[in-house]
Amino acid sequence: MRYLSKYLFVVFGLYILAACSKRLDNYDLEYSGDRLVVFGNISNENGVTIYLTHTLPPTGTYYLDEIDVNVSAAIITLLENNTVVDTLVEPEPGLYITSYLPTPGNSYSINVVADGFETTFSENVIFPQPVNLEEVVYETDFENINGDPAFSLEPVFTDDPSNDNFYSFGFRYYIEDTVILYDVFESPDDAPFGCSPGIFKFNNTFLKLYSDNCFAGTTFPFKFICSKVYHLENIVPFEKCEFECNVISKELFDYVANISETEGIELLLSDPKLNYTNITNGFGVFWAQNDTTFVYHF
Amino acid sequence: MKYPLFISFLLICFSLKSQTIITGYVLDETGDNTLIGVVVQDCNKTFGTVTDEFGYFKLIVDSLPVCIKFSYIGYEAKSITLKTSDKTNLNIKLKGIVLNEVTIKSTQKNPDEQINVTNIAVEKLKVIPSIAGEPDLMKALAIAPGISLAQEGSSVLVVRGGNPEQNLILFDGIPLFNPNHLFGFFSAFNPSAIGNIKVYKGDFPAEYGGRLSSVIDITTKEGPKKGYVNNEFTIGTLSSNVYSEGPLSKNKASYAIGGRISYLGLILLPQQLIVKSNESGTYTNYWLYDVNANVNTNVGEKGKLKLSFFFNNDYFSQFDETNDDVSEITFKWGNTAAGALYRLPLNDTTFLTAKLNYSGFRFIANLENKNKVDDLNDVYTDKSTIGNLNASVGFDRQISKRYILSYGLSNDITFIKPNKLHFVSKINGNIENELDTFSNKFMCLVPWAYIDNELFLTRKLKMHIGGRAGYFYNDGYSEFLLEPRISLSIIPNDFTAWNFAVTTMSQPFHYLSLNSSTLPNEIWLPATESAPVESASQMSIGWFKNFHKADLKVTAEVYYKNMHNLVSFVPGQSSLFNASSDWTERIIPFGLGQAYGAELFVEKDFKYLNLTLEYTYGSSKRRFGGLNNGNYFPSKYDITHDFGITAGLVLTDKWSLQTLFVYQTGRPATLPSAVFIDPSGFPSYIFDEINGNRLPDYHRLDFSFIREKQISAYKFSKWTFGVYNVYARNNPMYLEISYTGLPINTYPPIGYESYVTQQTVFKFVPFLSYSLKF
Repeated sequence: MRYLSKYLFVVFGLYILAACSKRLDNYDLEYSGDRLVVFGNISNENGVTIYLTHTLPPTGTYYLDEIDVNVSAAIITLLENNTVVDTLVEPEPGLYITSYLPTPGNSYSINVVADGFETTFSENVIFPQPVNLEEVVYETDFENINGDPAFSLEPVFTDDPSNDNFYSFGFRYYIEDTVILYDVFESPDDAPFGCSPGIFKFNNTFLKLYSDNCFAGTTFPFKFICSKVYHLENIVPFEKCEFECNVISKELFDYVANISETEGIELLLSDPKLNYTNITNGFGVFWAQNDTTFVYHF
Repeated sequence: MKYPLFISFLLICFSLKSQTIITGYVLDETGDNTLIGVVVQDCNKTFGTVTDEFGYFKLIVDSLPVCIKFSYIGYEAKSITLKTSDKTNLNIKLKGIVLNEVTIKSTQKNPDEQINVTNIAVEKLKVIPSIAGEPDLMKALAIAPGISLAQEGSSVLVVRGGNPEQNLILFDGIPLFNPNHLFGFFSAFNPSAIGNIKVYKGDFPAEYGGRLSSVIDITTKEGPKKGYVNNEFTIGTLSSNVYSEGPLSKNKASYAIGGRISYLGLILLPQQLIVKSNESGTYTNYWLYDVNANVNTNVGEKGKLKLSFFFNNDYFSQFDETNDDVSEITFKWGNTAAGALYRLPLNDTTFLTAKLNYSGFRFIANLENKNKVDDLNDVYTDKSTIGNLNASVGFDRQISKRYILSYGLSNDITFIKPNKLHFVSKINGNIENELDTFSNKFMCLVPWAYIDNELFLTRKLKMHIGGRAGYFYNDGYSEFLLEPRISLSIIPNDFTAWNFAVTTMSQPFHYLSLNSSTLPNEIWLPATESAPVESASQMSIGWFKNFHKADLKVTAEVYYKNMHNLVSFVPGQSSLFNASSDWTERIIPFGLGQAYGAELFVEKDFKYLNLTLEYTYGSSKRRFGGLNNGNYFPSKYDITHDFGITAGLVLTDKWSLQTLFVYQTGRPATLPSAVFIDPSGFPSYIFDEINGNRLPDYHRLDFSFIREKQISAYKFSKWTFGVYNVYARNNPMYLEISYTGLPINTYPPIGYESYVTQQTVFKFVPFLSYSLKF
């Protein structure tokens, strides 16, 4: 709802001739110092994946190919029920992985030690039970809202009413082995406020997030309309689509809800949000994700 | 120490014998209008009183003969000598004098009444330059020390480091909840209808309570009970208002009615018509209006009844049509208030005041999304309301010349629906989904009792001791409320006073507002067990000196205030269209507040020039668990230095010039202290501290020229034109962090430039208004 604030300014601008926005080039904000930023999860299909970077001064110019925000040579340990069970390896700078697989109901956390930074650790996250899918209905040969050829995927499952549950649905289109990110629409309409906080991109996947606020104890009410068009740049048809149907721990939902405008309309002059994080002495989010993946070949 | 005080008290209580009570009304020369706030003193100025809202006074003298002097701004002072007690019930008429706007001086009051109270003459407030050229009395009050605006251009006041909702705004004794227009930029009070404004910043009279920081007591004008009807019409840059007053029944009853409407909607109409015809685009619509009225009537021989009514409404909508999608957001809010005030002198020493009031505030937000092709229609409605019904009775009893006892009872019933969200989804006109959430309703009871003992211990020492006690009940949660208040005034001579005051206040209703906004979209909440009644205690010391030979008055005050059980939103949270959690999950209760400061006010009159200077050094801090590591942090109203100077200059017999210069330390702002690149490749800012930064310092100069002309015997015109922010300073409304992807117009970007942007709204604003009185 950022547009609201803009149009309020238009209203005032009709009367107040010189209302303006001015860039303050000499107003440099004080930097609170380098701190670790952790984004990662533990999943039943990929084990643990962690991206480790550090913060930057809030004002300035950054070219991502010129600055190296990745933090290498850190020691990241995985704890299961508060006991160290594995140490992650670093196959490429800033990426840490392990194939250790989680067990539903157990708690997991990570501990990060890196030179020049405070020791950083995550809160415990509980690995959730998988979604109890009855089926995924696949429909094809119709058009999306832009008139392009499309297909739809409808996960059919009933929410467990005894728990607060959080879901994410991910889509990956492939041209050969390359993942192409592409829009996915909900149907019949956008999810109501409080049901879906938005989208989160992780590991080459757009994750669409939902809580069970809108369908607690009932059937998941949405299906997803996916375009079947050729990839725009290469004019090469997609070869396959991978569809993830995940149960996630609440931490990722809270993180996305925090940065999303759907958590209350952002009105003119609204307060900035303090960042949600479950990382102590750092930022980012560590969550658990129970994946169920389907592959569709076009 | 206890015993001398007690003995003094007894002596005072029993010293009534052989004294004479003089009562009466003070009227203007026509006898049509009663005068409020007239100073009635013995000619030696050793004791005195002021007329109440009905122009009534009561004075006890030791012996006759006695000389009594009546003085009032804009009127010639009058003295009379009473030799015998045959006639002690007086009707005094004061003759008006022609005053140019700038020669209006502060009301001559007892020196101790200049401390902790701001009571600037309405006529002086009316000429302070304001944004649209139309007088805004609430904004103008910010020329007083200790009072500032919640943000630039706003008519919402902040008093001594408190929050805006901590001000008790009384309109003819009726509490109002949010009397503002245009998202807080204009007050809803028609300036033509206001007779008197008094702001208590500390040393609160015992009859007032329910808010922590101030009492803003607004009294409307009374119409004349005989003679002609007076009318006033003003056309300004933003709105027009009309006002009329006159007799209803000769010598018995009068009326006063005023109304104001803005033509924002008309100015925006072309845009609306274009969008409607193109079936594409965006338009905004805005309407606002307010109405106030009162009827004053005599009841019986001595009784007086004032019926007051107030209504204001704002309507904002924004419509957007793109392809087949239509969305419209609408905000509506306003107050409705009505009250009856009855005053009756029961005998020569006792006055009865009875009130019955209703005041309500509503805020309705509506968001509608429509798809014309699929005939889909989603509507979200968010509604918050509060209503207050109050009945009270009070007595003022002059026990002796040196002892006035005031006491009374009141009962408040408050109905609150904090945040009701309704969602309905339709396809082809049929309801597919309907949802009601958070339809909590509260009914709260607050019976109160108050007592105030005003003791003239010696000729130079006056004391108020008393307070309020109440009981708050809300759905099983209850709390006993006790507000002791004491003040001591030392009055060494007629022109000097010292005042020491300790007061406590409590506020059983919380107001949830965004940390940096004064939009009316937030909600009133009752105190609950998890968010108990707010309370504050304030200590103040003040000094007033009237250097009368130099026409110079100086007031200096210091204060310290503690606040408890404050409530705040969790940062980034709002109440609007939020179905994920109700308000109880979005607040941080048990907050603490601390404010202290020093205030200086100087007023100097020259022959053709009136100068005022105010300076406030202040600090206002808050502390909430989970915010800023639980440490105290500056509140958004923390202004270290606040300096203002006004100058009114008589140019000719028709022309005058008003100027206002304001300087303030930059206000606190919340800005990031770091950034990281999130997994999507975009910057994500880290906000470590609430209000950890400051806006650039604020200053501006305004001026207005006023031309007044008498067109005929009963017809006066007034032109006002001027400029707000003459030297076009880029004063920040707020700062925000922004970034630009690099290279520009490339997606996805490979770099970012991150910088601070300042939003300025009011930069060099010319204004013009015309007013006609007939």
